[in-house]
Parts: sequence; structure tokens; C-alpha cells
Amino acid sequence: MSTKEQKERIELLQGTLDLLILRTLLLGPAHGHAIAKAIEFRSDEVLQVEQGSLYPALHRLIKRRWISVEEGTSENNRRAKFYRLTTKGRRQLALETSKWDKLAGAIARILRPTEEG
Amino acid sequence: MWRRKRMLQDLDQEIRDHIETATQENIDRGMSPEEARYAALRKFGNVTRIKEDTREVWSWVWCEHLLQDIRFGIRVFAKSPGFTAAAVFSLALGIGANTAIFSVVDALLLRPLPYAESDRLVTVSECSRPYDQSSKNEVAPGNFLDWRARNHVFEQIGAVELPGYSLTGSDRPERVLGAATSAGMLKLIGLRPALGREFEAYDDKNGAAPVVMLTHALWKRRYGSEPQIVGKTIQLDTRPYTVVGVLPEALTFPEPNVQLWVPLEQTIAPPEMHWHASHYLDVYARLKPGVSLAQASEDMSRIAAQIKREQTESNSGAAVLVLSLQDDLSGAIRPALLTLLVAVGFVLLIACVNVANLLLARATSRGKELATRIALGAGKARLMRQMLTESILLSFAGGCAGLLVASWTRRLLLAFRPESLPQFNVIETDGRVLLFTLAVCVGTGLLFGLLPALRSSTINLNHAASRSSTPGKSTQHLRDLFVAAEIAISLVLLAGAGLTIRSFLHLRATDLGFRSDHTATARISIPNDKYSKDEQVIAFYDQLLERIRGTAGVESAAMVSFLPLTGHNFDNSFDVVGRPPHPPDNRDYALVRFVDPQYFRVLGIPLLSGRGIGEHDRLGSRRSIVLSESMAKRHWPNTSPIGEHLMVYMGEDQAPWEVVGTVGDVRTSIAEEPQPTMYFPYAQFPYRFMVLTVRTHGDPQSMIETIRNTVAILDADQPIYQTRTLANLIDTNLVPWRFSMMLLCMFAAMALLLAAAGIYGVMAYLVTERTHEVGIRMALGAQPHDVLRLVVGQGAKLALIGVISGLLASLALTRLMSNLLFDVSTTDPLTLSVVALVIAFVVLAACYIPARRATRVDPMIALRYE
Repeated sequence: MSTKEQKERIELLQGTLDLLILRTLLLGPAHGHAIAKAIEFRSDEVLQVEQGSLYPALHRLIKRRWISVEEGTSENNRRAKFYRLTTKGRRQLALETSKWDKLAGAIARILRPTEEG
Repeated sequence: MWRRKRMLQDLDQEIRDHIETATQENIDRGMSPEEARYAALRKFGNVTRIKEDTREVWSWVWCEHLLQDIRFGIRVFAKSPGFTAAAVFSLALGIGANTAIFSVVDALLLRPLPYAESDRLVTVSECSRPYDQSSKNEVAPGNFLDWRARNHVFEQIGAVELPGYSLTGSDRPERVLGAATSAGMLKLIGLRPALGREFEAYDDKNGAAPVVMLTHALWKRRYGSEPQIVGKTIQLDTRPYTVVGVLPEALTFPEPNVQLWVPLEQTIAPPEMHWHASHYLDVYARLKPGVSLAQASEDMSRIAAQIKREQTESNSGAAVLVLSLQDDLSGAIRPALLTLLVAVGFVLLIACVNVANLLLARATSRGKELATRIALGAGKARLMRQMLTESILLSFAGGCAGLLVASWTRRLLLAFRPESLPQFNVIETDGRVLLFTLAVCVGTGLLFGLLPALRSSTINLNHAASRSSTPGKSTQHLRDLFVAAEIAISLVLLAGAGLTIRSFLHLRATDLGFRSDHTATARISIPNDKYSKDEQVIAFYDQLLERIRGTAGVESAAMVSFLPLTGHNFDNSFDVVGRPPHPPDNRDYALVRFVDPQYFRVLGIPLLSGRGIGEHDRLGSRRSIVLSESMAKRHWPNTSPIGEHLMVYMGEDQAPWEVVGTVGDVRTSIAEEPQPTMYFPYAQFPYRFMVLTVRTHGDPQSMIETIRNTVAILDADQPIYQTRTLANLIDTNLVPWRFSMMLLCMFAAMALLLAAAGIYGVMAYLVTERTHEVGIRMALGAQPHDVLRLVVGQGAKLALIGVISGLLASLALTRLMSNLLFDVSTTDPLTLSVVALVIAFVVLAACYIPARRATRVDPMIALRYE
């Protein structure tokens, strides 16, 4: 069915975003806006994430128990939800990172074959 | 649902905060507020879509589908109110009846007794045949003492006797039932006194200071719950007793109508405490932890064998029976309850079959709808889930209505309950019962829903989508099977009910051997202290009878030590003088009754030979007794016993009695053959507990107050108790029989009603389905009676199959209820044939109405139909 194809495509994109979120949370718990800003900042603003798409991703990560959520106070004294990396999430991040490295390496080899030879 | 709403709100809040924070940052960077907000929104993306995406992650799709199914189901049911009402009604009857009976079974058989570690509580009884509950007997004090001293299996063992006391010392003398209990009895069953202390070993001795514990009820009723009651004195049989404690509230041990406790061994003379010959104690014990019933039985059998060797003179070779207290208490009603449980199970089964049938019929007519849904891509699983959701929805509706039915049934149960069951008071719809109902709902929903659901998921698309909505052949077979099963099951129930009706009729028609109309009775007991001499007792009885006989409205009056049917009795062993005496452990026994000369006349017991008890049979004159017919026949099969002498072993009394006459037999229990009985003149052997029996011209009930006043004139401290009419006494005896009869009849009626409705439904549906066919037949010249025969013939075929299999099943099943029956064989041909006829009639009637409708089919309309 058609939905299946769509899902696979989305998953690839989502997977990337998930990885970035996990990596960001490795530095410590953060609320939604802070995560979005951190990703932008750390990628030298190259990656322009549509900030809203962060939320479905965050909820998906909660459901997989890779991150947890808790109530807290943001820097401007607002009640906010803070997301925190779980042990399981930490393991997943390591796994995803190595997978990403391999993928990136492989793609690089294909795109720039001359550098090898 | 609530959680979902909360999460949605949280998400909204979070997104709002995010955008506000971003806006603020933009403002800080120097944008105008409006510009800042736009930039933030642009950067965030489409808020609605993001919310949707997030919500999808929560994946409550399953739940939403269920809700959708439920909503759809409700809509479908609302559209066919007739179908829904029929199904819910069927289920309500079935589930309600089950809930009611379960609540009783739970309270009486399943729930542990309200005592600490009640699984270790047992009763210990003597029995004449090992392991045979029916030969159970009460325990001789001597045996109890030996058991207590020699057993290795009980943590604690105690005995109880139930003496009556006259409670005096305030405005109105009152007769109360006491429990004479061993020390520490309350601890034995695992309770503590509400106030004060319970009896200690030093209380439980002959000659110790008289002490008493009040039941909570007596304390409240007679002493206004006075907290200072402990240490005060009350008068029992004109002797002072010190109150040492108050028993816990709502205690039903050892009997619910006991009012006070006294220490056992204070009430029994020391030599008597060691007797092995007279059996009147109830013995309770708590097993040591880890000891099983079987181990306890074994240990007690060992002791019984020892006692038998030692007590060759008096012990009648007793074996010992150890029963769990719970089994012992509920033993009498267990067969009735189990039978009822099976009966309501059957009712529910019929209800299920009914609803399954309705669903099958509907699935056929819903064929198009279902086919459409399949064509649009609904999966089989999805469709089955839809159908099952609908059937469980139905069964829940049935369950809710069933709770109403259950509360009515329970009221009925309480109205017909046997008095002897104290636990009946605690029957209620609690969490356990509701849980049971819930389980029954889900179970029945699956049971009746599964088959139709399976069928609907195998719909042939082409077939269903085309014009026809007639069912496949296999559906028709299934429906026939259902109908036959309904007929069979209701036949089994009707047979059971019929048998109980017959035995009840037999019971009522049983000749008890005495007249019960216009007779009032009241019990009286003469205290030792006040009337210490036999002459005093006799004089009191004589005066009382004389006064009562002189009262207006009294036709005649008499006295007897034990009325028939009260369960109060005692028997004694005897030898016939001139015949070789029996060894003590192998003597013949006969019931003993002390009567006055008028007793036989008042109760209408016929004199068969010789003379009755005479006015001249008094202390000092020749000792005379009258025998019952069965006693005379048993010991003098071919000759007359008159003039013979009997040696009756009653305590220290050891002189022979001369037989002067014989009278007709009287039943001592309504369902048992009359027992051999010896009647003694009370004026020759004054007994201190007598029942006044007064035959009246008018209403006997109104005589009771007159009796009370007459007694009070003679002795103001003398209460009367157990006042009732004889008719009432017989009625009380019939209660347990009526209980199972009424309930079985009610459930059988339910079953018949449900089955009739079910069969009618199927037949009516069949006729509608075959309208086309009937139309063609009629167009081809079939007459109305041909059509009638066609439809009724189909019903008759099913009825025949159902009746035959039902008869076979009831032959097998009614055997299980043999101990609920009296004088009726479980295969009673009359009952079974009447029941079969009733069923056949009902089935044919249920077919006839739709058949008549079929004969009125207009061929033209029928052919144009579709």
C-alpha cells in the first residue's frame, strides 16, 4: 500500500532529526525551543529545522523510551517541559552515530571515488 | 479519554510557549512585535499539522477504532429496537439469575467464614459408621474429655451445648438460648470479646463462680449497651451470674439466636462429664498449622478405637468424623445450591442461544451492508472485531438490566430461604459479585457473538451483493441445531422443576400421623431451684392444664416433652423383660416422649389397642407406657405387646414399665419414616421441659397471649418460648423443600419463556424468508393447510429432536438432584412425559403463529417481492 512507501521516506528524515535531538540532549536536559536553537547553532545555522517538526519527533522518542520528560522552569522562569536522555537513549545514540558514520563514509566514497584511488 | 485530553492541552501549551519564546528573542534582536511573531510562526511551521502528527505518534488508533465500533454498534442497535430489546431481555434474565445465585453460592460456599484462619476450623463428631456423614451424632462429654487429652492434631478443642435459661431480674422474664462453651472458645474460632474477657480455665469447672458473657445483641437490647456491664450480676434461672464480657457484634457462632454464653463444665455435673453414653455436645477444634483434615481424622480414629476398648459398658462403638467447619455449616443447602447453579447456567445458555440466533438472522439480513464494507476494503479481522464489539455491547446492556433481575431474584431467595442459614444475612452485591457479572457478560458476549461473527467474515461477496439475502444452507442447519438445543435444555430444567413439584406435593400429602389444625404450642421449662421435687413439677403442670382447659376458646389441651417435627428428640435404649438382654453397646433404641393423658386426643393420634395414658397413671401407681405402632410391630411382629414389660435405661431409673396400649405412628421429621416411640405418663416421670399443646375453637395464633398470661398467673417468673401453631411448624419444615422447588420452577419458567421466544423468533424469520417460496407454492395450487403443514412440520421435526435429546439429558442430569427429592424417582415417567408434552405444545404453539401468517401470503405480492 501507498502509506508504506511514505513511511519509509519519512523515517529516513525523522531518523536524522531523532539523531540530532539525541545528540543535543547528551549535553543535558533541555526544553523544546532550546533543542531547536541548539541544533541550529551547532550546525552553524546550516540545518534549518522546521521547528514544529521537533514535537512529533520528541513524542516518538518518548514512546521508544529513549528520552524522558519532566516538569521544570525555563531560563525566563516559565514552567516548561524538559527532555532528558535515558540510558536506553544513550545506547541508541551510540548505535545511530556509528551507523551514520558508516553511511556518510559510504556515500562519500561513492561521490568522491578519486580520493581513494 | 481524560488523559488524552490532558496531553492535548499540554502539547498546546508547549507549542504556545515555544512560539512566544521565539517571538521574544526576535524582539530582542530588534524586530517589531508583529514582525517577530510572524518570523517565529514561519520558523515553527504549520501548527495544526504538527499537532496532528504528534497525536498520531501517541497512536490511540486502536482505541479510537474501538470507540468507533461502539458508537456504530449503538447506532445499529438504536435502529432496530425490537431486536435489541429481545436480546437484552434474554440476557438480562440469564445474567441476572446467575448473578443472584452466584451471590448466594459465594456467601455460603466460597467465601471463608469470618473467623481468623478459618480454614483450620473443624467440627468433630461421633458417627456410627466411619466417614459416613449421615450417621453423624453429637458427642458424649466423656469422649470429648478423652479427645481433648489424647489428640496430637488440634491446637485447641472445645465443646458447646445449648441450654435454655430464664432470664429474670427485670420487668419481664424472658427465655433465652444460651451456649455453654469450653474455656477459650472465642480464641479457638479466632475472635476477641468486644468488652471484658472470655472464659478462662478456672471458670470452666463445676463449682466455680457463676459467670456469663452476653452477646452483643442482648447487651444492646436488654442492657442498653451499658459500658459498665462487666462485673455486674444478672439472674439466670433465679441464680446470680457475674458478667465477665460481651461477645463481638454480629457473631453467629455457634447459633445465630444464642443470647449468652456460660462456661460448659459449670452446667454439667462432674460425674456426668465423664459419661460416654449420652451424646449432646457439639465439638469444635482448630487444627495445628500444617495438619490436614485426613491427618486429624486418622488421629481421632486411633483415639476412638482406644476408647472403644476401654469403655465396653457404655460407648456405642463410635467412629469420629472431622469436617471443615464451613462444609459442616453449608452441608445441608449445598446440593440445592449446586442444582440451582446448574439450572441458572442452563438459563444463561438458552439466553445465549437465543441471542446467537437473533444475531445470525441479522447477519443474513445485514449481508449487503457487510459485503459493501468488505468491498470498500474492511479487513476480516476488522469486521469480526466490529461484530464482537457489538455482541459484547449487547451483553453489557443485558448485564446492567441483569443486575435489576438479580436484585429481584435475591429478594425472592430471601423470602424462601431456610431459616437455619445465618450466612444468608450477608448476601449482597459486592465487588466479587460484580466482578462475576462482568466476567459472565464478557463470556456470554464472546459465546453468542463468536459464531455469527465468524460466519459474517466469510461472506461471499458476489452472493451477498446480488439481490438475494437468503442464508446459506449451513446457517440454516446451525439455526435448527440451536432451536433443538434450546428445546432440549429447557426440557431438562422443566424436568428438574417437575420432579421437585411432585416431591413437594408428596410431602404435603404425607400423613404425619397427627392433626395440625387449630393448635397452638408453647414451650415451658421448670427450674430446678424453685421446683426441686417431682411432686411440685407435676402439681404445676396439673394446675396449668386445668386453668388452660377452663379458658374460653380452648377445646382441649395437653403436654408433651417433644413435639414432632421440631428436631428436638431424645432416644433411650431398652430391653424386653423376659428376653435375653442385649450387651450395652448393641441395645435397641426408641424415641422417648413424656405426655399427659389427653395428648393423643389433642393431636388426633389414634389409639390402636389397649388403653392410652390414664389419669390414674401417677407417681406410686403401676408404671405404664404406650408404644407406637412401628415399635410394637418391630418387636412383637405377630403378637400383642400389651402386658409385656420393658426395661428402659434412663439414667438411674431402673424399674420396668408395663405396656398398656399402642397408638398410631407419628413422623418426627417430615421426610423420614416414623421412628419407634415410647410414650411415658408425665405424672410418673416428670420432665422439666414440656410443650403445651392447645387445640382451639378459633384462630390458634391469638391463643398464645392467653397461654402466656395463664402461665404468668401461676408463676410470674416463668416465661414461655418457642410459641407457634402446629400448622406453622409444618410450614417451617417445608421451607427448605419449597426453597429449591420455587427457585427451580422460576428458572424453568424463565427457560421455557426464553426458549419459546427464541423458537417463535426463528420460525417467524423462516416464514418471512420463505415468503417467496410459499407464494410460488400457493400460485401452483397449494392450500393453506399444506402451507401450515410445511411450517409446523419443520417445527415438529425440531421439537422431536429436542425432546428426545432433552429426555436423554435429563435422565443423566436429574440423578444429581436425587437428594432434593422425596418419594419420587429421578426418572419418574409421569413427570417426564408431562414435561415433554408441555414442551411439545409450547414449541408447536410458537410455530403455529408464524405458520398462520404464512397461509395468508398473497401469491401475487410474494412473487413481486424483491
